[in-house]
Amino acid sequence: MRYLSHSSNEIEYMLGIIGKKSIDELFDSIPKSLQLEKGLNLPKPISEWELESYFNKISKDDGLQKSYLGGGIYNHFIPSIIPYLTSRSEFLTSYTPYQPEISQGTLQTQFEFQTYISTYLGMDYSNSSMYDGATSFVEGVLLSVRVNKSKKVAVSMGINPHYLDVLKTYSQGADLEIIYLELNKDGKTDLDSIENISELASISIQSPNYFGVIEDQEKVKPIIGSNCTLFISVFTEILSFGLFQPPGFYNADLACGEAQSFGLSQNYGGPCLGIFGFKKDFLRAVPGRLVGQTIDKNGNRSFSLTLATREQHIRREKATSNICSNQGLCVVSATIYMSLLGGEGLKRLASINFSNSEYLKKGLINLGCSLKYESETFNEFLVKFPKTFDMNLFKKYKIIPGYKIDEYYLITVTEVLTKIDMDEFLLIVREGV
Amino acid sequence: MNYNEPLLWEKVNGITVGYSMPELSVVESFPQSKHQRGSISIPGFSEPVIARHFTKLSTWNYGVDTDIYPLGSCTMKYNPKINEKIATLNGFINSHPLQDDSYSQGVLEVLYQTGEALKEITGMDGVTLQPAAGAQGELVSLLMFKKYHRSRGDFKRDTILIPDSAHGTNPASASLCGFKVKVVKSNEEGILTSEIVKSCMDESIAGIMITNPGTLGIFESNIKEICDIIHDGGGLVYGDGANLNALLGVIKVGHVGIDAMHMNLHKTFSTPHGGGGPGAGPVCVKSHLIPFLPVPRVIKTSSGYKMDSNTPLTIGRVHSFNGNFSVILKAYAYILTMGGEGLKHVSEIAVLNANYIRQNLKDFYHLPYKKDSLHEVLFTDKIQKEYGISTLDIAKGMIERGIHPPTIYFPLVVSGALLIEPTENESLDSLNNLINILREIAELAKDSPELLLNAPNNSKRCRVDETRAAREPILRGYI
Repeated sequence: MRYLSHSSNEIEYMLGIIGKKSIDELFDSIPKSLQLEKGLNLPKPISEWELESYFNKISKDDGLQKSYLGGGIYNHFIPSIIPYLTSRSEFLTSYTPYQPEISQGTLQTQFEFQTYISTYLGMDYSNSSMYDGATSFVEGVLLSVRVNKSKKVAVSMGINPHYLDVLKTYSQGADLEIIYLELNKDGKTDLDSIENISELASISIQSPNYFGVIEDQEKVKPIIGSNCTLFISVFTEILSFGLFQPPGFYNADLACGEAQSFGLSQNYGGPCLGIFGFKKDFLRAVPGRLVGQTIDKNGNRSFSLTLATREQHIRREKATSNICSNQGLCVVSATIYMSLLGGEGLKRLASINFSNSEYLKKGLINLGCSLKYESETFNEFLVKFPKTFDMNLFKKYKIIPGYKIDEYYLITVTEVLTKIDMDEFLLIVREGV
Repeated sequence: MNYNEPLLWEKVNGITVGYSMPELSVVESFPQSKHQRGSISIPGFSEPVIARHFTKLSTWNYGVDTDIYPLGSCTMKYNPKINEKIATLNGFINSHPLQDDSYSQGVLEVLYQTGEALKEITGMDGVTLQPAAGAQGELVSLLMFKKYHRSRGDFKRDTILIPDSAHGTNPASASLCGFKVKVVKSNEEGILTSEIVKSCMDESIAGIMITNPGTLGIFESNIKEICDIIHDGGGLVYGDGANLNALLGVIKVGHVGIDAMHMNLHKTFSTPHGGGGPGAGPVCVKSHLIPFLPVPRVIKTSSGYKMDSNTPLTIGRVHSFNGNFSVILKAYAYILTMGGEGLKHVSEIAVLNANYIRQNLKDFYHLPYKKDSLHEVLFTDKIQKEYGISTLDIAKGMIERGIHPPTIYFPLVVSGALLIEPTENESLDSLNNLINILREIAELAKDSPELLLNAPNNSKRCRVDETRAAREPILRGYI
C-alpha cells in the first residue's frame, strides 16, 4: 500500500518494543464482542491508473453544456496561477495556523484577505471566512439575535431561497420568529411593512437579489432610525460590487455572502467561500476566525489568530458559534484573484459582465421575451419566453438556458460567454418562436 | 534562505492588472441608477509579482508534506496527489449545482457511492453529505435528535449530556440547537462509566455526545452499556467521528448503539486541511433518523441517479448547495484506493505508531492515563513543570527542531496536555525523529530550560506575542 511506510520487519520490531505479540493485541481495550469478525464489504484496493480511468470515465459527460446558470454559483474565468499556487503543499497540506511561528504564510494571506475584503465591501472588518454564503448569512442573523436579545428577524424574499432554507433549518435550534418581506412589482423588497414591526433583531436584504435586481439599500437605515435593529446586507455575486455600491456604502452593520466568484470553480456548489464583514461594534460578537497583527519576541511584525475567547474551543457552550474551521485554501484563491485584478480590474470585469448580460437581456426583449422585473439588474435577470417557443430547442444545441422558476427563467451571463455565444442563444429563440 | 515579503499594498507598483481582461465584444452598458460605484482602492499586480509573493509566503508555512504533523484528534495524514488531480477533472469542476440531474450523473455517482461506502464503514443505514465540516455535522445530528423527539410528541427533552473531555464544538453545537448542556465526568481511568451515565439520565435528556476513542486516545469500553442506558431512558446517542481513524474495519459504530455520527473527511479520509479548510462532515444515521436527514439527498433509480427532496420530516438544508463536493470526491478516491482491507490496515498502523511513541516516551513525560492508547497518546508537562517548562515551551522547542508540535492544552481535563497522533503514514525514521526530539527536550528542560523558554529562534518568526494581538486587535491594514 503506497501510503503506508513500514515493512513487515519494522512492524515486528515495533510490536516487540511495545511488548505485544500481534497487531490484534493493540486493540485489546476494545471488547471482543464489539470487534468485527469479517472485514468491510468494500471493493478491493485499486491502482492509481485504475482510479484515474474510472473517474475520467464517469466525469466525461458532466458539465459539457454551455450554461446560463447562476443563482449563487457563477462561472467566471479562473487564471491558471490560482490553482497552481494553491496546490503548493505548504498552503494545501497545512493545518489551522495555531502555531504562528511556522504559519506566517497562511496568516499573512488571511490578513491580506481580511484587508482586501473589508476594503472592497466598505466594512470596518472581515473575518477570515465562513463555510459558504448561506451559513454566513445565518450566522449574521444569529449574531443580531444575540446582540439585540430578540428572536424576531426580518428577511427579504429576494434572498437566495437556499439561504432562506438554511436559516429555517438553523431557526429550529434558535427558535427564531422569521418575518418574510415580500418583493414589490419592481422586484425590490417591500420595506414599508417594517415600520410597524417592533423589536426586530435584524433586517436582511440581498443585493443584487436572487433575481439580479439591485435593491434600494439606502432606504434601510433611515427606516430603522434610532432602533438597534441590525441591517444585514447579503450577496451571492461579490463581483457586482465592482460596479455597484457595496454594503458599507449603505451603512450595513453586517455584510454576509458568497465569494465563489473570486477564483473558485463551480464544483457542483462546493466548496464555497462565505464572507463575513462587520462594523467594529460587533468585534467581540462575531463568529469565525480572525487574524491579527502583532510582533514576535524580536519586535518583528507577525500575525496570529486572535480573539479566540469568542470561540468554541475556549468558550464551549457560550461561544459565538460552533464553527471550528474556515475555508483557508479558498481564502488563498480569492486573495490571489483580487490581487491580480486589483480595484481597476474588478471594475472592468464587472462592467464586462454587466454589458454582456444587458446585451442578452435587450436581445431577448426584442424577440418578444418579457421580463418579470424592469429594475436594474447585475448579471442575472428573470425572463419569460414567448408561449410559442419550444424550450427543448436549447437541448439540441447543448445549452442550459438558465434556471426555471415557475414560468420564468433566471438567466445568468458572465464574462465567459461571448457575443458569439449570446447571438447563438438569440438565434435559437428567433428561429423557435 | 531568509527573506521578507511586504503586505500586498505596501508594494509600490500596485497599479497593473495581472489578468487577461477579455475584450468587450458587445456594446458597453452603464448602470443608470444612483447605485454606481466609484474607484476601488485595491492594488493589482502582474502575474509574476503575485507568483513570487505567494510562493514566498508559502515557504513560511509547514505542511504534512514538510514533516510529521502529530496533532492529536486532528489526524493530519498524507494527502494523496492523485486525489487532487481527479478533483480538477473538467466534468467535476464545471458542473453547476442547478444543472439537470441528467447532466450530473458522474457527480451524483460520486456522491451516492461515497455515501454507501461511509454507511458500510460505520454500519449505519442513512447518510447526508451536506455538512461542510465536523461542527456542522454535529449541529445537523442534534437538530435531527430534536425533531425526532418532537415528532414523537416528546417536548421535554431539553438537555444534552457531554463528557468533560469533549471537543468544544460539542457543547457549542448543542447550545446552537437550543439544548442545555450537562457535563458528564469521566473516571480516573479517563473513560465514562455506566454508573455515572445512569446517574445523569432522566426524562430531560435528549441524548449524549460521545467521541470514541475519546480525546484521551482511549476506547470507551463501556460504550455498549452506555448506549443501552441512554436508549432505555428514551435518549439518542451521537458519535463524534473525529477519532474514527482508530476504528476502520475494527468496529462498526452502528452495531454498538450509536444513532448518528459525523465523520471528518479531512481527517480520516485524507483530504487536505488547506490551512483551515475546506473540510467536510458527512453524517451517518440509523434507520429511525433517516426521515430527518437534510435535503436534497442523492438516490439511485432505475433511470439513473437523482437529487431528491421528498422528505417531509427533514430538518432542511444546511449548505448553500450540496456540500463540499470536491472534498467528498477526494475522500471517495481515497476509499477506492485503500479498499476495505486497506482501511483496516490504516487503523492498525495508526494504533501501532501511537503506541510505539507512547512506549518510547513514557519514561520522559507524564502519562496521566495508563489505559491502552489507540491512535493517539496523551502526555502532560507535569514532570517538566518542576523545571519551569510548560507545554507551550515544549511545543516551541519542537518547532526549533524542525517538526510540528502535537495538539497542546487539549483536552481540558488534564493540565498541560500534549496529545500526539502520528497517523499511519509516518515511517519508522520519522517516528524515531519525533521521539528523539522529545527526549532531547525532556533533557533540556532539566539541564538548560532557558534554551526552551527562548525557542524558537530559527523559524520565520520567533515566539509570537499572541496576548498583544488580542489586547490591541489590528485586524486589517489600510490601503
